[in-house]
Amino acid sequence: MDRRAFLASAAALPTLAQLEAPRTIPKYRVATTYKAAGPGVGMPGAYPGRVVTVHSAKSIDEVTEVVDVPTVREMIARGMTTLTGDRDSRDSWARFFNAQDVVGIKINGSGAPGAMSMPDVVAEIVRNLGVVGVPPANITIHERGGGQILLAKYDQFVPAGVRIASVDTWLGYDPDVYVEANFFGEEDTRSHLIRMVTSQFTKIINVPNMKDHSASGVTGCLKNIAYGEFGNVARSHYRFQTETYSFIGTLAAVEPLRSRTVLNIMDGLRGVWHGGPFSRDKRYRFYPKQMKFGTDPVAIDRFLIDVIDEKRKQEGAISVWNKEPRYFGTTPQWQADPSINRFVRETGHIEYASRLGLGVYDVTKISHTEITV
Amino acid sequence: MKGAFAVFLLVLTVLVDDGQSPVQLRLHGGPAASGLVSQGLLAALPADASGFQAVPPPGLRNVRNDAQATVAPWVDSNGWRFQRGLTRANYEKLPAGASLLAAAEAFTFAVDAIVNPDASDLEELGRLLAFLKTNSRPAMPLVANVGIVDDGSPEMGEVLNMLTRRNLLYRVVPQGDRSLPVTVEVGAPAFPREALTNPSDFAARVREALGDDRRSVRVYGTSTVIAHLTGDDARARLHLVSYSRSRSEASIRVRVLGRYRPASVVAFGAPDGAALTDVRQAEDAATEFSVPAFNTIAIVDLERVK
Repeated sequence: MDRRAFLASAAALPTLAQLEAPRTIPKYRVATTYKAAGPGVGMPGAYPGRVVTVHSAKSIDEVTEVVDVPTVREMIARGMTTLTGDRDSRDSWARFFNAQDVVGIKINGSGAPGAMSMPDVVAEIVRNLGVVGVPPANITIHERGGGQILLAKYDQFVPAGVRIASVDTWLGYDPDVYVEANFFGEEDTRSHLIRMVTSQFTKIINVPNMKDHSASGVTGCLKNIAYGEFGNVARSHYRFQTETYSFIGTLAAVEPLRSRTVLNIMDGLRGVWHGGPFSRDKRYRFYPKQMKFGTDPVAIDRFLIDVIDEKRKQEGAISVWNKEPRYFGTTPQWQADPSINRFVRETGHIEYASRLGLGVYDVTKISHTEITV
Repeated sequence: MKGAFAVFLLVLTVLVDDGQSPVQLRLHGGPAASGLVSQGLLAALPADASGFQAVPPPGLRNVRNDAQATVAPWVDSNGWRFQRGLTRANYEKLPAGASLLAAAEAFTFAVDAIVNPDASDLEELGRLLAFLKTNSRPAMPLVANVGIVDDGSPEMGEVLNMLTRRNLLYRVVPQGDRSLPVTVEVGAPAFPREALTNPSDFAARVREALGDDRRSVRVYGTSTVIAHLTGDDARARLHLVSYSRSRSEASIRVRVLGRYRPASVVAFGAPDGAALTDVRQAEDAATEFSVPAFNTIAIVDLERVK
């Protein structure tokens, strides 16, 4: 079935035949003038197939949602040293960053202030960059959407000089770096990389929030760095269908984004188990009270699936893998009932990204260390 | 003679070279715009306006589809009516904000028009009319990639509307004319009559038959801009009209087929000195550039590189 025929036949809800039809990967054209930095740089980076999870029951108060800053400091120090094998966390940070670096911290603001990369976590990352000599003026906390990043109020948590920016406020998009594909007959077929990434940053720290996602199944490292650094991505959703399965990995693999994303710190103090990526309904928030560390986004996201699915199971909701037609409904139905899908969930996007060389998906090949502080 | 000279000053003059003698096109002001008429920015109402066909106000509607991540903008443009042959338009009733868009699209498609602006528009409309007057040039031939054999039906009208909204450049051609890369004649195997029942799908067929690589203009970074390209062997002129709710566009990217050197850009609402940026000659003999942020209309002049 070609795309035009598909569009003509696509109703509001999918049929079993449509769901079981062989998946076709859209034809992508990647335009970039950048080359890969070399083996071991970027994603999956210096520690492929390695994930460190640090838990702490006292990291956040579930009632007030106040973060315990000393605990977060300890969690990050333990996570980093365990990842790198150093005794002193300063040595761990120094493996990734030095005073000459210009660092972009890619937060997740979709759902702020109810769901976001916590400002306390981001502030502690900024503090550690300072310890290894990165001046505040060389640090940019950023997000694609301008409104979302302002809601998080990061400026109140970080030293003066740290830039808070979005594509609306600084540099726009890079005209020469984009992914072109025609998904559903949309007229604008390009998704451009934000220019901060290409013209400013030497390194990027990816700080996603632990969340369910109605289209991609879950949203973690890969989706945050892909859909969060490129424009015109909502076009990959049409009725019940999305192309998140292959688009997320394709975007994340584009240079220089891939080579410059050297560290992933997943904020799981507070998360969203249904209704994501936003958090319009507080009853779908939960408190995993953990953080995940690694250079391999696929490996971290692989365990994110388990966290979200486990919580959904506890709540009696369908799995993030469930695609049965009987569970599809309208957006209001999906908002009201965690066992309703509004899109075909593409949780498989993480495994697909592993096939692009972005990391290790097979849990038997991932070294996963869990620590409690 | 003195009176005739005064009338001449009152018109917004657009010269159209249709291969014969230049024609003066006029934007006429209704009663609410008498001030703009007296400033010479609009022509007075014609004594006989019966030849002016009523057209709806241009604008934008946001249409929410179930389970869609974002709302889909629905551009209401009269461009397709002008492409179909309407040369005298009467914007009888224009809500606040719409008169600027009406003036811009009439100017872009080079039609005579009566504009009845809302009182709240008058000041900004005056600035836009002055901008258009400063930047009017002798028109050049329309650039099109698709020839449409128009059967005059409402269904075909809706197809033309879809083609306009999707920036698939076309012109209406007589039956048998095969001068453009794609000719659309209803009833041909690629364009069966029953396909007309779904104009959106029909437009997709046209796009598929042409192929994006053969399109003379592509616009990226927006879904609310309509492009209109004219040109000859030496030059091209691209009009970009914004139908967004605020009529403003952030920087957009444009691809024009052919090797060109940008000669100038004028963009309403842009600061003095605003210029095209990131000009690139693509490998596939296309020219790409970013247009500065603008309001309502931007006009790009290009010179062909030999």
